[in-house]
Amino acid sequence: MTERDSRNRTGRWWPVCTLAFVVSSLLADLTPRASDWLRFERAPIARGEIWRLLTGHLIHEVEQLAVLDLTALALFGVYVERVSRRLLGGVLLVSALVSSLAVFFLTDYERYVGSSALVSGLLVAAALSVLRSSRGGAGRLLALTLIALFALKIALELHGSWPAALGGLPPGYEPVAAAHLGGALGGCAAVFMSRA
Amino acid sequence: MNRFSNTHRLFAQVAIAALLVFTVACISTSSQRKSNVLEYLYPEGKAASTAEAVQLELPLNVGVAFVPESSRYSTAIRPGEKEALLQRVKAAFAGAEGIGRIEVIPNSFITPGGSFENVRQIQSALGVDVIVLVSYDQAQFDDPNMASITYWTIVGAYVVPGNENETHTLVNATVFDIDSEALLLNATGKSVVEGRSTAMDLERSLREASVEGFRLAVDDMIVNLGGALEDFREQVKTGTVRGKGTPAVELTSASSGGGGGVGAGGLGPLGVVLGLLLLYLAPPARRRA
Repeated sequence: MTERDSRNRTGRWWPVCTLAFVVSSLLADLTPRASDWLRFERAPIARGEIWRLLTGHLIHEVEQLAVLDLTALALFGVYVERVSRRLLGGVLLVSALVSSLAVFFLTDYERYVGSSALVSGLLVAAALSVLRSSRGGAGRLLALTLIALFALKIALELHGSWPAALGGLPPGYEPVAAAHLGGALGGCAAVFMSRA
Repeated sequence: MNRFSNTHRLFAQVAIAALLVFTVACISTSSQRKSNVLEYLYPEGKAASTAEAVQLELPLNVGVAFVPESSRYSTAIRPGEKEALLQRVKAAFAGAEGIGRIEVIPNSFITPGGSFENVRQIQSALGVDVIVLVSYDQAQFDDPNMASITYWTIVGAYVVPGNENETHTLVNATVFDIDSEALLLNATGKSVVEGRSTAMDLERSLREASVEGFRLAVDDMIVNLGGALEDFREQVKTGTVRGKGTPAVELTSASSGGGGGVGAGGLGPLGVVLGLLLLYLAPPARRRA
């Protein structure tokens, strides 16, 4: 879809790709049995169901997690889509792949749910875009603050002192630093690839 | 002669009326079909064990199955209908707090009278921690009403709904921890379905009422099971499964780094706050081609 396609008759711009992702995720969460086929699950992936590496990020299983993740994704997604629709697509794709591979190879989790790895990628991509586009100090300060707070969160997760409840996770679900790191790396990679 | 004839006619009319009433009364029917969780888990000669402590590691992988009917009763639900009902239970609890994977256990995995040995086979095959066993009791009553007299015309049997039927269904879900064999919680659902049919359509009508009865009862059970689960969560905080005299219970979370646990993203409110900061404070995004 081109930029022109997403404008209505009054010339208003719409974040159609971001909205499409959020709606797809909600549909995947609400459709019975969809999660059986889409979510990140170690054993089926090892058997060859590799689409789960990408589609797993659509599944949340927990209502609160879905609301928080998709709200954050919509906020960052709108910004990144405004910069470039191609960049948004790149971030979603590369972050999904890199974070899933990180969870698969660097952890022993049987399952992984949520789209916060994609939010991580979008956050980094948005911060880098702000750094690139801002001429004044305020923009740069904002971008560095975003990155610093995100890095602090990752550090606390790696240290094991980030309470799962703060991430909107119920008992039995644990935040996975590897997924967020993978997502952030994917975001960086997508930004640099889009520049190349 | 004439007097005798009148008496004879009256006698004949009374006899016909009595025959009609008798015939109508004779075709009133009822049937009952049921499955019993205790017969399945503790078949004759099998003693129940007493669990002292229950350890549950969250999230729990859950198996859901219908208890097989004992040989004394015919089955009330076809295998496909059973699976559809269990899928409703699965969909209702997918993603619930503390619940991981939910497996609908195929009918062929369940052996009548299989006891916990059968349950443990299912555990090793499907990797479930607890099992939800759904048993049922369904009774159907069919009573011909006055309109059924028209059945004598034969045409009436096809077009006049002279049979009234009621289907009473009760389903019960019992949740067991497989390792300790302890009963964790149970919940019941019930329904009453009323219908009318012609004599020729009776069997189909009862069949449809049976399916509808199960559907409504399972929906009722899902609601009650949700409530029982909430009660269980509260009860667990006191350290026992169902109060004094019941097994002690301990909840743990899956170990960090996996070991079969569930990982999740979860930037949580931080992600939303940072997103809002970005949209409010960032300079307008410079659009690229």
